Parts: sequence; C-alpha cells; structure tokens
Amino acid sequence: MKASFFASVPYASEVGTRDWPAPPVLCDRETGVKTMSRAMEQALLAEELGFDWVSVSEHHYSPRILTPSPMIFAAALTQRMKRAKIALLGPLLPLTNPIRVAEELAMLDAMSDGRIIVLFLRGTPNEILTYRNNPDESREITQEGVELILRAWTEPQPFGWEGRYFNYRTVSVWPRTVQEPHPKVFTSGNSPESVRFAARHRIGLAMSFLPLPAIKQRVELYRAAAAEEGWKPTEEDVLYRFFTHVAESDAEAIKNIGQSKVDLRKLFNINQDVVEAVTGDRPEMRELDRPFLCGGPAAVVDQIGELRECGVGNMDLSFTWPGVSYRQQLRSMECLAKNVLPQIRGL
Amino acid sequence: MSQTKQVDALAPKGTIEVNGIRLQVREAGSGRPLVVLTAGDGAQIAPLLNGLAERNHLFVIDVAGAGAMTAHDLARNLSQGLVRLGLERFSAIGVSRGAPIALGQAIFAPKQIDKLILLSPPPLAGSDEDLYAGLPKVTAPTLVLVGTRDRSGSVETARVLREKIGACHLLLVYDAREAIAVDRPDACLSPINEFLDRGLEFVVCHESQVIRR
Repeated sequence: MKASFFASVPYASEVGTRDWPAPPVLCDRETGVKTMSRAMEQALLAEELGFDWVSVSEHHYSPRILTPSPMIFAAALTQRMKRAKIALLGPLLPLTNPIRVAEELAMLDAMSDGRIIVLFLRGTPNEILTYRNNPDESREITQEGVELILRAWTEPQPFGWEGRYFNYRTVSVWPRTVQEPHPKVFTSGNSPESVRFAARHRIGLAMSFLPLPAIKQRVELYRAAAAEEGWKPTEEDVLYRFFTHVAESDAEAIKNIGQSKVDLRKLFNINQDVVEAVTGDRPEMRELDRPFLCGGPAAVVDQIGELRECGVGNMDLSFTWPGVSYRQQLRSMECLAKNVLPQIRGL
Repeated sequence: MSQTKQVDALAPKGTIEVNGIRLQVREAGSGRPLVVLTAGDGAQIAPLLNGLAERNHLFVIDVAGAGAMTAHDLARNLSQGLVRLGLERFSAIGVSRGAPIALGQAIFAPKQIDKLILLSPPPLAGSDEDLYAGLPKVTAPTLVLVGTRDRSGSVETARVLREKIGACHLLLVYDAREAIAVDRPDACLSPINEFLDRGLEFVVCHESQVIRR
C-alpha cells in the first residue's frame, strides 16, 4: 500500500465565511505568503516522514485549498523534494487548455526526473462556475481532454485534433515526458460510466470519499471492464482519497475530531439553486461524520487492511478536518508515519 | 453539361479504361475539380459528398473493378483517362482502400495533383512498395485524416506519411472509427474544405475570437 500526503494548502488563518466564492477582501495578503511557506514545510515534512507521494489538487476562489494552479505548487515541490513522487490530483480539464496541461506536466516530469503522477478531473460542482463552463458537458469534455493529452504525449509526429470540444490544428509537445510512454495517469472512478472509461483507456482509477462497499463495487466493475479490454489492473492502478486522523489512541483521535461533520455538498457553499443546477448525480457528495481513517495505530492499520481488500493500492490522505488544528495535523502525520506506515508497506 | 447539386443524383460523366476494364466516372456539384477515389468502399465517403459538391466539381471513381496491377500502371491509366475527360489538374481524395490509389496519382502523376487528401489510409501492403519508396516524391500539399478509434492500422500509416511526405498534415478525428466520415461527417468536411481553400495554411485560425461587440 502506497501512502500519499495531500498538500491541500489551506489558508493559514481563520476566515469569516464559508461561502463560495469567498470574497478576496477576506484574504490577508501576508497570510497568503504564510500559507504557501507553511504548505511547503508540511509537504517537505511528509517526504521526510516517508510518505510515498505528495499530492496537490486544483480548486478556485476559496481559502479551503489554495492551489488554483497545481502546476505552480508542483513545480516548487520538484525543486525541494528529492525522493517522493509528486501527484497532481488533478488538473481540471473542462477549465483548461489540455495541450497546455500536457506541456506543463511534461515540463514537471523533466524537472522532477520522472516523479510525476496525474489524475485528470472535471472538478467539484463549484469549479465549473469558475470560468463559466457548462456542467452538463463536463464529463464529455474531460474524457476528450484525457484522450487528447495521451495523444499529445505519445504521437511521434505533429498532428491536428478535430474534437467535439477541442480543436487544434498543430500539436507537437516538447519536452517529451521522462517516463515512457508517459507519467502514470488516473481518471475519476466515482461513477460507473467513468470506471468504464478508465478501463477502456487502460488508465488508473481514482475515487474519493466513497464508502467501502461502493469502492469494492467500482473496483470489481473496473476489473471486469478491463478484462473485456484485454488487460488486468493491479492494486497499483487504484487510488482512493479520504480524510484521516491518527492519534496515539482511539479515544484521543475521537476527542480530537470532536463532533464536527463534513457535508461534502456544503463545502461548496453556493446558492441552492446553483447547487441543483451543477451537482448532478455525484456519489461522493455526501455527509461524513468522521474521517475514513480515524483512531489509534492498531485501528487504522485494520481500516487500511479493509481498504486493501477492496482493491485499493494507493491512498491519498487529507489530514484536514473541522476543528483539528494545524499542530494536531502534524502530530497525526507523524503518528501515522511512525506507527502505521511500517505495518502497511507489505499490504 | 448539366451539373447536379446533390450527389443523390450523381450523373454519369464517362468512362476510363484501366487494365482493359471500363470504370464509370460519375459527377456532381460545381467548382474546383475534385476527384474522389474509392475502392469498393464508397459508402465511407457518402456522408461527405453533398457537402463537398456544394463547393467542388466532384468526379467519383470506384477502382475496385480494375483488377490487379502495379500502382504505377494504375496511376498512368487513370491519369490518361482523366485528361481525356478534360481534367488536366485537380485535387484528389482517396478513401480507405482508395487512399493508396490517390497516393499513386500524387507520386506518379505529380503535375496533375493540386492537393491530396487521404481518409483512413490502410497499411501499405507488399505490393505497394513502390508507393512507400515514392512518398518523398509527393509534392502536393497532403492532408491525412484518421479516427482516434480506428484499429485498422491507419494511424500507423498516417505517421509514416507525415514523416516521409514533405508537406503533409495529420489530423486526428476524435471518437471516429475507420469509417471516419460516417462517424463524424462534419468534423471531416470542415477541415477538408478549408484545406482545399487554403492548403497547409489551413492551420492558421482567422475566425474572430470576439465574444460580443
């Protein structure tokens, strides 16, 4: 089992709103600087503690996750991290020019000497509002974007692309990626249709915040669909992102997380009419009453064992939770690294 | 000479004798001359013919009945026959198994070909060795279209064409199989017409990017 530290880069102070978009006036300029430097320190600590990957994601207009450009933070990580892989989970393809994404990821792969991993996503419901994209088409746009990027990385000759959503007459990406044929790629497996897309294109499957039975069901579908396509995925092809809090004992962990719940729909605290217009059927959008991994080391090792039995081989761990302080997050990371990681390597 | 707007009413134009066999030439539309070469797979281009006929004078030839002969001999026969029909210089579209025939015209009768367009070109077989060797001799600006879901070997052929032909552009048509014009007719017609208008300059976008004035 591989462990990834999710560098969510949260605003390094309290903010007086949970609305999305958060008004820029609430962002203290100096705190912006502190946020970036603290996030870098935390990422470097994760590498030092033995995490296999450090991941970044793309979100906009919010203090919750301050990486509107994951590429920029990842570029900084390539110059400071020496061992761990750098996972971009991920660029939001409906919001971007996929050729530009292919070029920047290829640069990052060269800058990191081949340590880049990438998950292409369509974005949480609010993200689709960022640059005013049509939510009804976001899945199709993302899927076309993935195919285009894979071609841009692998076609030996310049080409044009006559797509439904993208149209380029000249594509010829330099540098080529260090990893051959390209960095490890994941796509969302949160819906059954997306699972079949991943299997059809022989790429990895990523899920977030789903309950265990749903993970198991998606992985089984992925394996069956891959078999129809003539290949067999391994646990290395399956990634799961979730909240985590580890303490010295179960009681301490429960005490630290308190009574707070996370309603994944309300995280994107936008007007209810807008929510209904853009959310669609998103199985990961639900209420959580505690982190997926929560407890002392022994309990957490057992929970990871269950995850592994569902077919997951890579876990992307978010240590944030309402009411859990930054200091408690660091302790949770250290506790997991010291007491849990050594026991799950062989899983 | 009557000219039809719709290829639903393709009109007989005449015949070309190839290998002792008379091949029917049918025409439609008006505009610059465009020879459409098929080899028993005319259905693959059918969805484009109406759109092409709006701006081009089409001459559609199915060479499937011509029998076995070298690419060079076939090109010479076709070239002479087309001259007799008044076609001294024209652009050519080769569709699937018609693509090597159109390619042969561009290699062995280069002065006759204005622009060359190949849809889903199949792997160049052993008998096409003189075609392979002749690729660097193609002087006509060339556009090759291949579907991203084509599993027939067209994309491998297209890469070779892109590499060996001096002025060749490869266009990948997303979510299309080998019958590329059946799966995504509009995605083929638009770049083909732009290429016929502007040659390889069709890579330059002149569409306004103003959203609202």
